[in-house]
Amino acid sequence: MEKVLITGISGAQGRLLARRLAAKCAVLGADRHPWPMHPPGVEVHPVDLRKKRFENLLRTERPDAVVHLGFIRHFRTDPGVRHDVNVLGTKQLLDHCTRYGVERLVVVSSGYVYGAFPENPYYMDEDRPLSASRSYPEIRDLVEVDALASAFIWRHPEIRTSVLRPVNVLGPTVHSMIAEYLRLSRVPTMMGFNPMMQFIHEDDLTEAIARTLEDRLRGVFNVVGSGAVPLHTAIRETGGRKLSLPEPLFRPLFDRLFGLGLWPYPAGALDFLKYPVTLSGRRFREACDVRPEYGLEEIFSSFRR
Amino acid sequence: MSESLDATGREPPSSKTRSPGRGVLGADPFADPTETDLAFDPVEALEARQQTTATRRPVEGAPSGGAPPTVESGAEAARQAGVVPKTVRRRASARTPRLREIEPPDPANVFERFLSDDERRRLAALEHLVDEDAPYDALGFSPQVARTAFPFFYGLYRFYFRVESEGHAQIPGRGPVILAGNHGGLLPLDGAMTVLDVLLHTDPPRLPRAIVEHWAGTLPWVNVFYARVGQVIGTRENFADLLDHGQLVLVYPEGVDGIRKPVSQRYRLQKFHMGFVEEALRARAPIIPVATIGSDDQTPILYDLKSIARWLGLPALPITPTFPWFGPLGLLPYPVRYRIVYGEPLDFTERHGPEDAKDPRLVRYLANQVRRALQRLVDRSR
Repeated sequence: MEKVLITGISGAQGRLLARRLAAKCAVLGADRHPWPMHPPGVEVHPVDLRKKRFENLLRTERPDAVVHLGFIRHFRTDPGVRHDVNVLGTKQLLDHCTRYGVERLVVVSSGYVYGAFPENPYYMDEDRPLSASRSYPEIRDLVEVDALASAFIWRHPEIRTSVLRPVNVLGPTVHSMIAEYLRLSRVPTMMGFNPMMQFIHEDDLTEAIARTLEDRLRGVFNVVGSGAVPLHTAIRETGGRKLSLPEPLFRPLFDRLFGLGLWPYPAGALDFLKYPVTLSGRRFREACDVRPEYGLEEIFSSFRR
Repeated sequence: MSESLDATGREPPSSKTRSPGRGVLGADPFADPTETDLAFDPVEALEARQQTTATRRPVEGAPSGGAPPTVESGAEAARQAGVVPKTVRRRASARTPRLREIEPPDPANVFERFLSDDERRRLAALEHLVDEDAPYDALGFSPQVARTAFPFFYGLYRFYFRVESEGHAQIPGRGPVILAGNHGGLLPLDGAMTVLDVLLHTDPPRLPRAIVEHWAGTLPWVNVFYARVGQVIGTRENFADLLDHGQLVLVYPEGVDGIRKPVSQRYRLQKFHMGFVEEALRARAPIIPVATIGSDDQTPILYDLKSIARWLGLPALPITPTFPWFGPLGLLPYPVRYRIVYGEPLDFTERHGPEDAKDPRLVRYLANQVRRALQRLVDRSR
């Protein structure tokens, strides 16, 4: 039986993926956090990606495939630690993969790496430069991770590597940044801006990751759900109430509050509420025939506030 | 898939359990996974949908006995059995019905009572540019918003600028077309009037999608308004996509240089951006020069304080006979009479193919030809 290692298995997306894969292959997990009551077919190892014990895990278990989900995407931790876990963790994981005979690797990056700018074309393809750090330096580690993994595809052609860049992930269990944002009691928006946004359901993303693994895909892929809606519609449909704020006043305020740790999002995140970051899923659609099961209404109604 | 979902205790959704539209997102326009991005193209979407229809459920009446049909044979069987609807979507101007096929809708508000049947038919035609019952298209165009904004711009068109126009026969009824115009008058009302003029005089009605300067994307409200009335913040990728999907694209190749030129340069074309020629070659689209007379007189710019404008991050800071002396009101365009003239299409497709778009000298030469044709048309129409 094939062995798959999932980093960040205790996160919501990791759990979904582990359950999805457990039927067909042996699933190993690595995470700093435990997964209490994990399903019996799944082994969870409480290790840190940056530590020797993680390397030992790969050396002894020799997984055939690795899915890299072990990122810190929120800003609650110290920025240094976050950078370390994301960039260094990925770097070491990539090294281990070459050393211990991993055949396939899937790195789940995100669509945010393109950055939100007024000059963004609609439905960007994968060749668009990753410019998020220009206006949103707090996620430059995620951009770096994406670049590391994308370069790895070409530097190690013997390992079938895929980098997935999903759009906003929503669902009943995931704690994505966008989910936390939409769960706020009053959802702040920037006055006079209402960009088109894309969403994908957590199950559809799980399926996309699993199929990437099973179909042995190689390359960089945007992963999109069904269609796009204006942000205000998304807020209304998820049961939220929007709060329109004038940007010139509130951008500096949010910046200050973020610095003090009283507000979860840096000011750069506000650009994603202003400018469209819509991705073209054509390449992924052509590479494997998986289609999203959830329409936008289903995504919104499955998402619990 | 279903196994894992069962494990988490949730129902896998299927087309059967899909919740009916609640009227907020319409009938869930985006529910079909094949419509993920830029779904203008009816043919591509039809093919994609045939594939999903075929893979999702065995087709009733399909000749294959029992065995689930493969993608290809399933799609073929579906086509033969006629289960795949012939028209899956109403989108793209190429598929807009002709005027006489549209029922004039009841007036939605007081203003629309003053419109003729013909004009109300044209408003109704806007609904055909998006999916059935969908409030938005993939680029954020909303027929409802466009319809709400229509009376205001129609008032400007009829009573303020008193637009006269000629040469509509030059605009093809379908397929990718580029309208290239002369820009002027600080506020891009020449664009608005041209969009309206084309919408009011083509059959089937076509909605030009203007390529708008990036800077407009940073303006609150303005950016949303542009998107909702079908105008597109300009990037080459969007331009190419629109043409690929058979849209009518309006460009002002002079860019902001056109609208901020001083009064001494009125009706003199400024330097052209040449990207539109490359896209025309690539998409094999004809270029129709469109001259707008009047726009350059609506806000005569005596002097442009360029350095201060740059410091403030504005495209221009003009001094006009009324601005800044009357405050922001001084920027209102004067009620000049507009004249819009469509010239003969320049069709380069016979002699040049898409690969010629890579030849910068040829592109410059062709752009100059467009420029000369447009300048001639402007001079003749004044």
